[in-house]
Amino acid sequence: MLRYLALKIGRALFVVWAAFSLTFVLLFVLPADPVDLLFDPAEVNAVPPEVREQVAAGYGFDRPVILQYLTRLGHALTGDFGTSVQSGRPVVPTILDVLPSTLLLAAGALALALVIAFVIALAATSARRAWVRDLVEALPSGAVSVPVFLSGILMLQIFSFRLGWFPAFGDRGARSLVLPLITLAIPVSGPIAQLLVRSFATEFRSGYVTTSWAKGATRGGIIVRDVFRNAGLPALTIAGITFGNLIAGSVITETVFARQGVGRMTQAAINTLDVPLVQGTVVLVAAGFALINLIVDLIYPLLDPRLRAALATGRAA
Amino acid sequence: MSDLRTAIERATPRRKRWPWVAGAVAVLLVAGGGFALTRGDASTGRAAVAGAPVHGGTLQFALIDYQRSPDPQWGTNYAESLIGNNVTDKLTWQDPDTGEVTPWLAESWEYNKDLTEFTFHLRRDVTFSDGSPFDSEVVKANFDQYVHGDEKLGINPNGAILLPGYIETLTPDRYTAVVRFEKPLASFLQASSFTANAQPGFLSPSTLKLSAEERTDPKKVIGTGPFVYESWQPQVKTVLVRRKGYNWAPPALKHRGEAYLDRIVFNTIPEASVRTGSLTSGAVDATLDVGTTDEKPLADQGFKIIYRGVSGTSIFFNLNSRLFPTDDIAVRRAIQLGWDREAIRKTVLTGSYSVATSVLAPSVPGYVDYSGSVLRYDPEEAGRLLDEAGWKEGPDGIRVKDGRKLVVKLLGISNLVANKPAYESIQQDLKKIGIDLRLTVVPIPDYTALLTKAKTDWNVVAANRSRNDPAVLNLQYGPALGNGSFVTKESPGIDVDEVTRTLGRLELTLDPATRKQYAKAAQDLLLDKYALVNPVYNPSQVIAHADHVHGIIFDAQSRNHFVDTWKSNGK
Amino acid sequence: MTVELDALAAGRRAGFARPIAGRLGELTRQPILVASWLVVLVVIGWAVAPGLFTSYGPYAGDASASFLPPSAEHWFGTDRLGRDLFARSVYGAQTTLTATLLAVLIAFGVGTLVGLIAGFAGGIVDTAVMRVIDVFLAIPSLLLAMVVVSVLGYSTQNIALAVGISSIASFARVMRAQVLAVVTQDYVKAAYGLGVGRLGVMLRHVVPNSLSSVIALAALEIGTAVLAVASLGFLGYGAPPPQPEWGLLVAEGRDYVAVHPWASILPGAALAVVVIATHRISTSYRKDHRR
Repeated sequence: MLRYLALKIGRALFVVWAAFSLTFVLLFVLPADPVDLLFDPAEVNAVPPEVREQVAAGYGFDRPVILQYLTRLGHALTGDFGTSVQSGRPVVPTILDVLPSTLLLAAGALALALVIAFVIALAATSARRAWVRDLVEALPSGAVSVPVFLSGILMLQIFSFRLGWFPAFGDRGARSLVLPLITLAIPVSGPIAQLLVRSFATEFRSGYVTTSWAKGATRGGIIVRDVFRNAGLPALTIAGITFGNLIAGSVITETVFARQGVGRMTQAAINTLDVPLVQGTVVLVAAGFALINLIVDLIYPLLDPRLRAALATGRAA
Repeated sequence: MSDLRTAIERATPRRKRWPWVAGAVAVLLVAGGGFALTRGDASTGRAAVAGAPVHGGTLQFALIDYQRSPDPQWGTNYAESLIGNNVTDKLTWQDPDTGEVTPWLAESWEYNKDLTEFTFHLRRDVTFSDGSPFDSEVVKANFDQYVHGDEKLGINPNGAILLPGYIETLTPDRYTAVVRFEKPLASFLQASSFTANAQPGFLSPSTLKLSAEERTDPKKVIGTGPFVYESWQPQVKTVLVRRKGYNWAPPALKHRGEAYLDRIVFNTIPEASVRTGSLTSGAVDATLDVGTTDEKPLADQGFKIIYRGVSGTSIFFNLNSRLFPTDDIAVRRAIQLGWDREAIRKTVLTGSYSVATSVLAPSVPGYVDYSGSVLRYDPEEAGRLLDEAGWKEGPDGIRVKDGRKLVVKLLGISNLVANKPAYESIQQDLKKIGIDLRLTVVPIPDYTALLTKAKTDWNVVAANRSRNDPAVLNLQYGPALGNGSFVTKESPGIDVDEVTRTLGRLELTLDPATRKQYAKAAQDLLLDKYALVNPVYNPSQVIAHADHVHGIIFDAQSRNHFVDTWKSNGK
Repeated sequence: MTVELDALAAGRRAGFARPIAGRLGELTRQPILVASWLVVLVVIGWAVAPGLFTSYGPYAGDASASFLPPSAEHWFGTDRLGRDLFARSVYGAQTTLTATLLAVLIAFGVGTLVGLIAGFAGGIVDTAVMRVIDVFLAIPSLLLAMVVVSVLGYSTQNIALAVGISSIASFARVMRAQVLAVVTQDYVKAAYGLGVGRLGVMLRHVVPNSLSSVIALAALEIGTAVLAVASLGFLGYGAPPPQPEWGLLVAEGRDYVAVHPWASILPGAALAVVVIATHRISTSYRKDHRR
C-alpha cells in the first residue's frame, strides 16, 4: 500500500513539473513579445530600442531562454514564482487572492453537475416508461448544446435584469453565486450524465444484479445498493478530469458574470504573456489536478471490491 | 434473460415522444426569453432634478477593463488612465473644446524660443493626501522616474515615449520647475496635460520610493487628486473616496473645493449586455463602453447618453508605401475613394461616432476637413484610377496587373466592437471595384506579434492613437519615429526628406497660427499628395447614465473626471 | 397483457438480425429519429450546396436593411451590415461542419489510438503515455488553443485543430479505461487460450468492445467541438471575417442580445437543434448495438 502511495505521489509530482516546463515552452513558442505587450499597442512601433532593452532587462527577458527556465524552475521549487509582469505583484498572493472564488465556483458547479447527472441517470434507469427514459436520456445532449456564454447572458437578462432575483455582477454573497453555478454546471453535467446513464444500464444487466434480482430485491434497492456504487467509479474519474478543466475553464462564466477568478486571470495573463503568472497558475491547476486524481486513485480500491482484490495481489495498474 | 426483462419493463410500446416535449419546452423558453428581452422596461419615471449640486453619495460606475496596478503612471488600458486621472493631477489642463492648454498645478509657464526648455510656476497650496507638499522637487523626482524608470524598484520607463529627449528638471526655487529637452519638443506643453495611457500624474515622494510590488497596495499610492484610493480588487472593482481639503481643480472647470461625491465604485463588467442590463436595472448609475446598438434603446428609456470622440487620430488604414500592391499610389487612392461612408454611418456607427473626414479627429487643433475632396465615396473615379494604372479586371472580378492580383492584406485589432463590421463593410465595397481586401482582425497580443512583420507582410495596418495634439502625426508617421506607412527609399515616388520635414515641423512651434498651417500641410501630404492613409471612423467614448447623475467631464483625451460629478438623489 | 406480449415480441425482434423492412417500419414509429436524420441531412445539404437553400448571399450587405427582425423574407433577420442571417447560417454550415468533423477526428483518432496503445501495452508504455496525457489535461486548454491559433494563424482549420488537440487527452483516458476493463473479460482470456495472437485479440475483441464508450464520447464531442469553436470566438479567436461560422455568429450576436435577441438566439437555436439531433442519432445506434 505504501509503495502504491509513493508511486502515485511520484507521478503527481512529475505531472506538475512537466506542466511547468511545457507551459514555459508554449509561452516561448507564441510569436508575441512580452515586452511589446507592456506598451500601448498603437505605440509599439514607436518605442525607442533602448527603452525596450531596458524593460526587457528589468524582467530578465534578455537572458538566454534556458537560463530563464532554470532560474524560474529553481525559484519555483522554493515556492517563489516571481512577480507578475503586468502588475508587479508577487504571483503567489495574486493567485491566492482569486483562488477561493474560483474554487467555490468550480467545486459548487461540479457538485451540482454530479447531482444533476445522478438524478438524470437514476431517472433514466428507474423509469418504467420508455418515453420518459428517452426524454431523460436526451437531457445530457441538450445540456451541452448551448454555448455557456449565451446561456449565461440569457439567464442574466431574464433573472437579473427583468425579474431582479439575483445580482448581475461581482461577488456579493450566496445569491450572486446561483446563476454562475447553474451556468457552469449544466454543460459539465452532460458528459457525466451520459457516462452514468450508460454504466448504470451496463451494471443493471451484469451478473451480480441479476443475482440480487433473483433474490427478490426491488428495483430501487438494486439501484441504490449495487448499481450506484459500481457505476459511480467512471463518474468519479471523469469528475477528476473535469475539475482541472473547470478551474481554468471557468473563464467564460467568470467573464459573463464579472467575477474575479483564476480563469479570467489566466486568460489575461496568457493574453499579455505574463510568463510568471501563467506558470504559477498552471502549476497550481496541475497540482490540484494531480491531487484530485491521487485522491480518486486512492478511493477507487475502496469502492470497487474487484480492484481491491487486484491491489492486494499486486496487479494494480 | 435481460432482453426478456427489458421487454417486460417496457410495458408500453416504444414511442419517442420526448423530442416533441423537449421541442415545445425549448420553443417556450426561447419565446419567453425573447419576450422578456424585448419587452423593455417601463419608463423609470425619475424626474430630472437640475439645479444646485448635491453633496454626497456613491457613484456606481461600470466599465470594461480593470486596473492591473493602482500605479497611475503605469498602464495601457482605459480603466487605468481613467482612475489615475481622479487620483492624480497634472501640471496643466487642456481645454477639450478649444485645445488650449490652461493652468492646473502650474499657474503659469513660459518656454524658450527653441522649445527645449519649459519653465512652470507651480501653485503653492497643493498637498498630497499624505500631507506632504507639492513642489518643484516633487516635479523633478516624478519626471526623472517617469522617463528613466527605476530598475531596482522594478519601475518601467513609462514616460520615455511621451517625453522623448528629456534631459532633466531644474529647480531654481521651491515653486519653479524647468524641464529641459535635447531637441525642440513643442508637443511637451500638451504632454504636460496628458491624461491617457501612462500619464504624467504626480505621485508623492513616499510613493516614488516604493517598488512596483509595494505600489500594488492602493493605500500607499498617494496623489494630489480629488479622490484617494480606498480599495483595489483586480478583475472586480476599484473604490475611490473623496479627498478632504481638495481645492485645486483645473480653474477652467470652475469647480471650487472638494468633489461632490463621497465615493466612486468602478465596477469591471466585461460583457456589453451585462453593463447595459446593470444600468437599466439600477445596479449601476453610469456605464462607459456602451454597445453601439444599446445607445438608442437606453436613450428611449430615459437614460442620458454622453460621449466625446477619442482625440488624436481617427481609426486609420495606414497604407504600406513600399509593399506591393499598396506601393502604387493609384491603389492607395482607390482605397480612399472606394468605400461607402454612408453605409458605415448607417449600419456600424451611431450618432456618438462619426465617419473620419481627416486623419486627425475634429477636436485636434489644426484639423482640416477632407470629406469633399480625397475622402469621398467615388467608385467610378477609383475604378478609373486603377484602369489608368494598368489594373485590369480578372476572371473573378479582382483586378490583375502583370499577372499579380490586387490583394490587399489588412492587420487590425479586434478591441473595439465597431472595428470588424466597419472593415467588413469596406471589404464589401472594395470588392465591387476589384480590390480583394483580406482581413486579419485579431486580439492585441497577436496584433503586436504580427505588427513586427508589418513592413514586409501587411499592406494595411488599422489602428488609432490617442493624443490631442497635431504632433501626433509626426509621432505616428514621421519616418524616423512611428513611420506608419513605412516611407523609405524603396517607396516609389515618395520624397522621404519631404515627409520628414513636413511632419517634423509640428514640433518646432507653439504659435497657433503657424502650427495650424503646418498641421494642414502635414494632412495634405498624408492624405492627398502621397495618399498614405485611409481614415475610417472616429472612435468615441460613450457613457450612458441615469438622469440623476450630473457633471461627468470628458477631458481632451476623452477620459473622465468626476470632481464635478454629483447625484441629485445624493445616495 | 396483450400489450406486454406485443412489447415482448418487439424486444425479441430487435434482438435478432432484422430485415430492412422491419427497420424502416420501426423508423416510422420513431418520428423524432426521422426528424433528427432530416435535420442532419438538411444541414449537410446546407454545407454541400448552400445555394439551393437560400437566395441571399452570405456576404452581400444592404446598408438599408441593418438589424431587420425575422420575417418571411429574412427568416433569421439580418445582421448589422444588413446581411441575411439565415444565409449566413446556411453558408456557415460548411465552415462549422468541416471544423467540427476535423476536431472530432483529431481528438477521436489520436486519442483512441493513444488510449488503446496505453491500455493494451500496459507496463512502462502505459505509464509513460498516461503521464503525458495527464500533463495535457493539466495545462489550460485555452493556452493550448491560443498557441495553436497564434502560431499557425487564424483560420477555421487551425481553430478546429486547436479544439481537437485539446480534447485528445480525455479520449485517451476513456479509451484506456475501457481497454483495461475489456482485457480482463473472460472472452478475451479465452481468445488468448485459443492461441489467437496479441494483435488478433486486439483487433477482434478489444477494439470493438472498447469503442462503444468512446463513440458515445465522440458523439458528445461533436457538440462540444462546435461549442468550443464558439467559445474561442467569444474570447476573440474566431474565424477571419467575413467568413460565416455558427459559433462566431452566436458569439458576435451576444452583444446585441438585449436589443436584437434573434441575432444570437436563432443561430444558437439552430446550433442546439443540430447538436441534439446528432446525439439522438448516435444514441439510436448505440441502442441497436446494445440490444
